[in-house]
Amino acid sequence: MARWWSGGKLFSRGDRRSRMLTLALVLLLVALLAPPINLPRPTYDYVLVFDITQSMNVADYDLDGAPISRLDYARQAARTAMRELPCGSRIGWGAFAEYRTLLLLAPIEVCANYNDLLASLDQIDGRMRWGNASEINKGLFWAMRAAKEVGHDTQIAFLSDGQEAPPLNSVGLTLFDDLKRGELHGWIVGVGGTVAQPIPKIDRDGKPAGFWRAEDVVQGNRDSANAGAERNQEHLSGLREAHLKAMAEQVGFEYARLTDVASLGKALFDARFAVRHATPTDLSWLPASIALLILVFTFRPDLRPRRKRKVVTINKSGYAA
Amino acid sequence: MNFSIDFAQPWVLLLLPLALLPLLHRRRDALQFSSLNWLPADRPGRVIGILWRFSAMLAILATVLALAGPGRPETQVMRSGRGAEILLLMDRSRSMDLRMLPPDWRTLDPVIMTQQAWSRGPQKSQVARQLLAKFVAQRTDDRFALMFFSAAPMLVVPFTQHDEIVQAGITAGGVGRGLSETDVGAALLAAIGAFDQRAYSGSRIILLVSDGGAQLDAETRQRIQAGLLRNRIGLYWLYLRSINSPNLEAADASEAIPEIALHRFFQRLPTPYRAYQADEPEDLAKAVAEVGRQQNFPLDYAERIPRFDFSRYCLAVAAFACLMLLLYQAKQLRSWS
Repeated sequence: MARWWSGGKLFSRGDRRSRMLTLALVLLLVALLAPPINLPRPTYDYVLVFDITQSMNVADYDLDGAPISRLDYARQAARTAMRELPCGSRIGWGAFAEYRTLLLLAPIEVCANYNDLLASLDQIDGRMRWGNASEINKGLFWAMRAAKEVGHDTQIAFLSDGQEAPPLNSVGLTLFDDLKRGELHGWIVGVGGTVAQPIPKIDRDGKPAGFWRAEDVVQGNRDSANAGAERNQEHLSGLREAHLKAMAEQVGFEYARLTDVASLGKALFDARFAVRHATPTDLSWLPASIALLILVFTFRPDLRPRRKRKVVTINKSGYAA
Repeated sequence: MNFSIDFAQPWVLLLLPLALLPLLHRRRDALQFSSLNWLPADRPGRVIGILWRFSAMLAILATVLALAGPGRPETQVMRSGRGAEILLLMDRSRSMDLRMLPPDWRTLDPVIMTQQAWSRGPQKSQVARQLLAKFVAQRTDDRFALMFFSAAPMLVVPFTQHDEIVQAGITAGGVGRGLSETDVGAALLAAIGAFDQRAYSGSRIILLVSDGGAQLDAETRQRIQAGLLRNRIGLYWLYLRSINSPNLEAADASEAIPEIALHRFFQRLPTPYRAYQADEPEDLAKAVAEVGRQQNFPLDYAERIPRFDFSRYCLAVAAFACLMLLLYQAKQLRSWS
């Protein structure tokens, strides 16, 4: 009896809404089933080399109002930078003392190993020091050798205050034969304040033992760099920016100064030093977002209010729902 | 086990109200009919209508949720396994750059052999690196820590369950030339100290990978002995022998030779000690395998369960809801003509 109008012309399959819903369904299935795609993404491969010589114990930074040593501040900057590194980036540690940079940890992926990297970073301090000299220029060359041996276009960030001990007499050293200027990319990051401060003396057990006095350290020859001073002040330490800049120029690195904890990150994430690694990337959000747009469009309410009217929907068998 | 849920992109949840859209009245699908009272009552139709709304809401809801990336956060579960806590104590002194004693060393002229100490065969540091890498890779249940030493001990990787960082440290151990000095005594004390304040949860080993000995003074010897005893640590010495290195087991060797002196001191320890000396890499591999076999005692450890993402489930639900909507569409009367 109620079926008298059911022979009406139907557009059940081909109509617009069905097409939209079909499209949404297909997109959702694509999002569901498509595997992650390898996309080249900008990532960074760095070995952070920390100067762990005694001058890095000078507490001329402050963090949250408390004085903090140069080394601790540099590590804090490294933690901050790690948080911002895009996944797929790799980071490793090195330490510099005496005349050598020793690779402590080969670079590994930063997101998967975040907590372990932090735990490892916490261990880098002056107690590791294997010698009391501080031949930074050689240390930088050794860091370059290590990065070269690691391969994968590994770059260096060398964090130091630039205080050579014993002081260099000439302008600098010649680059090792097996290294070429510009062969590696990297940064020299100047750590420390500009005002020269006494250097805390730390004994082998890591306990403070006063400060280094003028007669304790090799003062070196008077040279042009110290021409203005009455005598050399090698027992005092401030950031030797000129020396660090000259070294950066020599090996083809960039120079930046660690002024706040964010400045290391800013330097490291230089687009010029990005490596494009193919990283498995889950792109399912893309078809899923389009599917959502389609669904929202399909079920959008009427924009213009119309006369109030009772509305029923009617199925094929002719019943009102 | 906890059931907390986190979202990779929580801000997407702001779109959740979109799921209410299908509830709003809409005119587009309405058909004109002269009098609704003429239409017969239709209970199945009403149910289907409710199902339609429900499916539409579900499709939007599930898609929004999928985009927000819900998941169970990374958790840790305590498990009991078999394994050990092993601290790898790796010598990074200059002598580790020397070559291993070649397998055919017995047939070589002693003079020629000495000349070849720096040039022939694999470097000891490389051999150590490969062996340790293999060792760590094979022993997945163990917790490892890695410490380098030369003049000072350098704890590079504190105890961890995750092999990747241990492997990265081992890799670093083979990079670059060694340092000039060695202080085995300080290194051992620091290695023992790394077990301090750790709950005893299974067998503990210090695996000393070194090629050199030392004459330790009485006080250091006493502290090492007390420390090993206190922390219940077994000591294993992987002795990398090169040309000119003495044979540890030689009965007539004098304690004036540092390696022999160290070996004899270790032997007198009340705690477990084993030395593995090998003239060639194959023997060393056997020694490492033996360490593995011997230290398989129960060990409590926390297993990390990685974050589990529920997005796919949400997508599946959304797709199912879409399918239901399509079926409904096929049944719906869209126009009178």
